[in-house]
Amino acid sequence: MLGLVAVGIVFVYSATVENAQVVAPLHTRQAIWALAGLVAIVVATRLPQQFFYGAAYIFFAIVMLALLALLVVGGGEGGRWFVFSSGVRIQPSEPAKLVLVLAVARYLSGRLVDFRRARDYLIPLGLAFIPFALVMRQPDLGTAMIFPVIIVPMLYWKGLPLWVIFLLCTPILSVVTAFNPLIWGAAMIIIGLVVWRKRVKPSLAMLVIILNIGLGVLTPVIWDNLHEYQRNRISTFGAGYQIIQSTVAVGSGGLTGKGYLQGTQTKLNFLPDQHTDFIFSVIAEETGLLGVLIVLLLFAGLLHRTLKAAIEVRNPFAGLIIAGASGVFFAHIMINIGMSLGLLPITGLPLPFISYGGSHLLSMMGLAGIILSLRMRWMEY
Amino acid sequence: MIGADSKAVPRRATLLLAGYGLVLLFLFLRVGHLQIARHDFLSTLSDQNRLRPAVEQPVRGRIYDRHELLIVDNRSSWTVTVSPQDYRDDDTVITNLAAILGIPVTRIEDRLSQRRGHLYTPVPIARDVPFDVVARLSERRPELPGVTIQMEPRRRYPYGMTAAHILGYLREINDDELASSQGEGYIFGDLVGKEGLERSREKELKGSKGVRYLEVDARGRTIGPAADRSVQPAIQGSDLITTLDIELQQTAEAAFHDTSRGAVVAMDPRDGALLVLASVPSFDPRDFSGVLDAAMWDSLNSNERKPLINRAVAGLYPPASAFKVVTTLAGFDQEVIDLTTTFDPCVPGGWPLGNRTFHCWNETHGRTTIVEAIEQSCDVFFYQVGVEVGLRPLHRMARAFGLGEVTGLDIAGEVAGSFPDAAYYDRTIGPGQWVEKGQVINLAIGQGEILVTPLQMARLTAAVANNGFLVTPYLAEATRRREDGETMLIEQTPPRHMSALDPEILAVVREGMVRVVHGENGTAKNVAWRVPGLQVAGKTGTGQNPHGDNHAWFTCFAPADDPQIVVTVLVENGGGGSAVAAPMRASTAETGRGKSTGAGRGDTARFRSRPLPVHAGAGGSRDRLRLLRHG
Repeated sequence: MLGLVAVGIVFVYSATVENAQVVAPLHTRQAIWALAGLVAIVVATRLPQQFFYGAAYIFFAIVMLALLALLVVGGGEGGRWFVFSSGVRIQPSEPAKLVLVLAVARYLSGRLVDFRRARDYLIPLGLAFIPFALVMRQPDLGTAMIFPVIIVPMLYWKGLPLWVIFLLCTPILSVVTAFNPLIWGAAMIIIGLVVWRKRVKPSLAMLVIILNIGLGVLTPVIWDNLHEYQRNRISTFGAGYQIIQSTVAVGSGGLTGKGYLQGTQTKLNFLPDQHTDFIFSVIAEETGLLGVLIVLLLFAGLLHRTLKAAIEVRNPFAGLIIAGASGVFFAHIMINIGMSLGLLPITGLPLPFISYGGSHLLSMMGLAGIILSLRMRWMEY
Repeated sequence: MIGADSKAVPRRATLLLAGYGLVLLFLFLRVGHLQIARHDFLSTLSDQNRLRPAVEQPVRGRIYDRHELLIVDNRSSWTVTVSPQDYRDDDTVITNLAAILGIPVTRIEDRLSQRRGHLYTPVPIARDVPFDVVARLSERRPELPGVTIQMEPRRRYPYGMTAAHILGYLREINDDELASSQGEGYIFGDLVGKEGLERSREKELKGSKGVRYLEVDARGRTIGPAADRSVQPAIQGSDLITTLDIELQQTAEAAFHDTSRGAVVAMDPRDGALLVLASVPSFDPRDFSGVLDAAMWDSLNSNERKPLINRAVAGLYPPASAFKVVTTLAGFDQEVIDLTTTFDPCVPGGWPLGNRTFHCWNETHGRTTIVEAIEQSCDVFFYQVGVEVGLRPLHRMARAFGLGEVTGLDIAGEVAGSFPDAAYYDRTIGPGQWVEKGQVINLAIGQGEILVTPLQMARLTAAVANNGFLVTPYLAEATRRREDGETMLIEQTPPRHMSALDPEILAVVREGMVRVVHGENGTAKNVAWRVPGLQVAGKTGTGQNPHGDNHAWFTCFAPADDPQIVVTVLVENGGGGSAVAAPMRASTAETGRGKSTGAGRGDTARFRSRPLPVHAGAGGSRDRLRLLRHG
C-alpha cells in the first residue's frame, strides 16, 4: 500500500516535470505539496481509529463552514480558492470530498442502519447535498457533481440493494434524457417497472416518480437559465476545442508515444489545462499506449488494494471509509480520463495523485494516509 | 453492522471491483482505439496544428520556338498577400492596405472570403505590384500584421501579342478547376494555364512546388523550422520547345493591315508540325495575368473584331473553290472523270439544271479537262462532277479529309465545322423536300452548308501534298528539363494513310494546283509571288459571305515537287483573291529564305535532325517522315 502511494508520488513528480517546459515553478511546488502529503500520511498513520470516528462530524462542519465562508467573502478565480497573501491557494472543495466520506461513514456505522427506512439512506444523501449545493454556488458544477457520486459505493457497501441505487440515480437519468421526450419516456417506463417489480412503498414510489417527472420538465427550463459559459462548457462536449485537442494529443501518441518532453500538443500549448485537467492526455501523448497501460494498471492496483483493505478491516466504520475512498478515487479516474478521451463533458475534475493542485493532492494523500492507518489497525473493532 | 451477512461484504467488494475494472478496461480500449486505429488521422491533425507549410512557387517553364528563340519568359514580380489567421478581423489592416494599394476595401474582403482551404495559406491580394508601392508597404509593415510581400515569377512575352492565341495565358485557378484537380497540389490563388499551350502543357510547364515546414505554437507564433521535416525545394517547370517559327508568325500577323481579320496556317505537310498558326487580330496576353478586371474582360469580349477568337482553329468559313480539290478526288474515285473527261462547256448564260441556271464566276472557260478546270477554277465543270458523283460519295470524301471533325491539334478550342449529309437536309429542309442535285451542285464548289476552319484546310492541302496522309497538326515538339537539360520529344499522333487515294490521281491534282499559280490562266497568277526557283502549288477560294464582303482563301504548298511547307491564308471579308496576296507573299518569302540559307530541307526536318539526347523517339519520327516522302 505504501509502495503504491510512493509510486503515485513519483507520478506526481514526473507528470509535473513534464510541464516544467510550460510553467517552470509548478513542479517544485507540487513536490512540496507531495512532501506535505507524505507528512499527512505519516500523521494519519499515527492517529487511532477513534480519532477519525470522533472527528468525522467536526471536520465535516469545519470544511462546510469554509465552503460557506468562501461564498460569503468570495475567492480568487471563479471563487474556488482562498488566496493567501503568501500566494498559496487553498481549494476547500478538495478536503470536502475527504470529510464527506468520514461523515457518511460515521453516520452509516454509528447505529443500526436499516435501509428499509428511507431516512437511513436519505440522510447520507442530505449530507452529500450540503457540499454539492455550496460548491455548485461557486459555481463549479463538475466538482459539485462528485459529492453525490462518491457516497453511492458507500451505500452499496453498507448493503443498499442495487435497484435502490438505480432509483437513486434516476434523477440523473431524468436530467440527461430530459431533452429528448422519446428517450425520457422510455426511461420513465423502466423506472416505473422497477418500482412495480420491487414493490416499493407507495409513498416512496410516488416520490421517485414525481421527482423524475419534475426533473424531466424542469431541466430544459433550468438549462435556459444557466450562465452562458456553463452552458458552453456542457454543450461543447465532444466537439469543443479542448476535447478535440485532447483527443488529438492522445491519438497522436500512438503505441509508444512521442517521447518524454516531445509531445507537440503539450509543448506548443495546443492542449489546454495540461498540468491539471488534461494531464492524462499529456501522458498518453508522450508515452503512448504503453504508458497509459502502466497508469491504468497502477490505478487498478490502487483500487484493488483499497477494496482488499476494506474487506480486511473488521471495524465497519473503517470499512465504509475505505470503500468510500475507493469511490472517490474511482469517480475521479473515470470522469477525468473519460473527459480526456472525449467520452464525458469537461468537468474540470483532477486525476488523483497526478494532476497538479496542492489541495487535491494533499486531500488524496490524506485519504490514502487514513486508509493506511485503518489498515494498520485492522484488528481493532 | 453486526447483523449484516458476513459473506455479503466480500461479495460486494468483488462486484464493486469488477465494476471499477470494467470501466478501466473500457477506458483502456478507448485509448487503444484512439492510439492505434485512429492514430494516423489524429497524428495528421496534430501535425496540422503545429506545422505551417511555407510554399515556394516553382518557376514556370519557358516556351521556345523551333529555332530556340525565347517566346515566353519569366521575370520576377511582387505579390502582396494576407494571411487570414494573422490579420484577425482587424479592419484597420484592411483599410490601410487598400489605401496603399489603391484598391477598394471590398476587393480585399472579397478575396479573403473567396479563400478556399487552409486558414494559414496566404491569400494573394494584388499581383505585380509596382516597386514604389512595395516600398511604402515595407515602411508601414508594423501597422500591417499578416500582410506579406512575396516574390513571384511572372510571364514575360518578348514578342508581345504575337501568337497570343496559341501560347495562351495564366490566370488564377477557379473553384471548378480546384475541385477537379484535387491531389495535384493546387491551392486557392495559384496561377494556372488557361487556353493555348499554357493550358495543354500545364503539367510539364508548372514544375512542382517546394515546401518547408515551420513549427508554430497554439497562438500561431512561429517557433522555428520543424526539425522533423525536411525542406523540399521547388522544382522548375520544364521548358517547352514548340514547332513555331516565331519570326514567320510575326511576319504573317504583321502582313494583315490594321482593320483586316483572318488567319494564317503554315504547316509541315510531312508530319503536321505547325510553323505558323496566326489569328488576327490578336490580344495582349499580359492583360490576363493574375486577376483580370471586369472592364478589360468586357472590352475584349464585346470588341466587334472578336480578338479572343482563334480564327485559325475556331473560325468557320465556307471553303469555296479551295474545296474543288475534294470534288476532283471524289470524281476520280467514283470514276466519273478521267484525265480526258470534258463536260458541257462553260459559256455565258450559265449551266442549266432542272428549272434553274447555275453560273460560273467567269463564264468563258469553254470546255475544259480536269487539270484546266482546277487551274481556272471553273465552276461549271465542278457542278457537273458534283451532280455525277452524288451527295453520299462527296460527303465520304470530305470526311476522309477530316472535314467536319477536329484535327486533333494539341491545344484546346478547336471547332469541328460541318459537312452536310442526307440526314442533315432531312432535318433542316424536311424529308422529300429537297433535291440532291440541287444541294450537291453547291457543295461541289465549296459553298452551301460546308463550314471549315483554316487549320482543316491546311490539313487537307497537306494530304494532297504528301500523297494521301492525313496528319495531326501539332505545336508542342519537346520538353526540356531545367535541371539537366534533358530533352524529351512529345509523342505525336501518326498520320493516317488514306489508302483509297491513288497517288497518280493526287499527282494530277497537284499538277492542276501548280498551274493555278504558274499557269497561263491560273487564278492565282496575279496574286502569287515569285521566288526564283521555287515552284508553288495552290488553290484559291472566294467564300460567299451573306453578312458582308466575301472571304478570301488561298491554300498552297511548296516546293511543288517535294512539299515541305503548306501555307493556308484566310482573309475575312477580303473580297477577291488579291486580299490574300500580302500575307501570302510574306509567308512564302520566309519559306524561300529558309531555303536560300541552305539550312536544309525544311524547318521541321532541321529541328528533328539536331542531335537530341533522346533520339530514339526522333528516329521513329524520321521514319515517319521518310514514309511520308515515299508514300
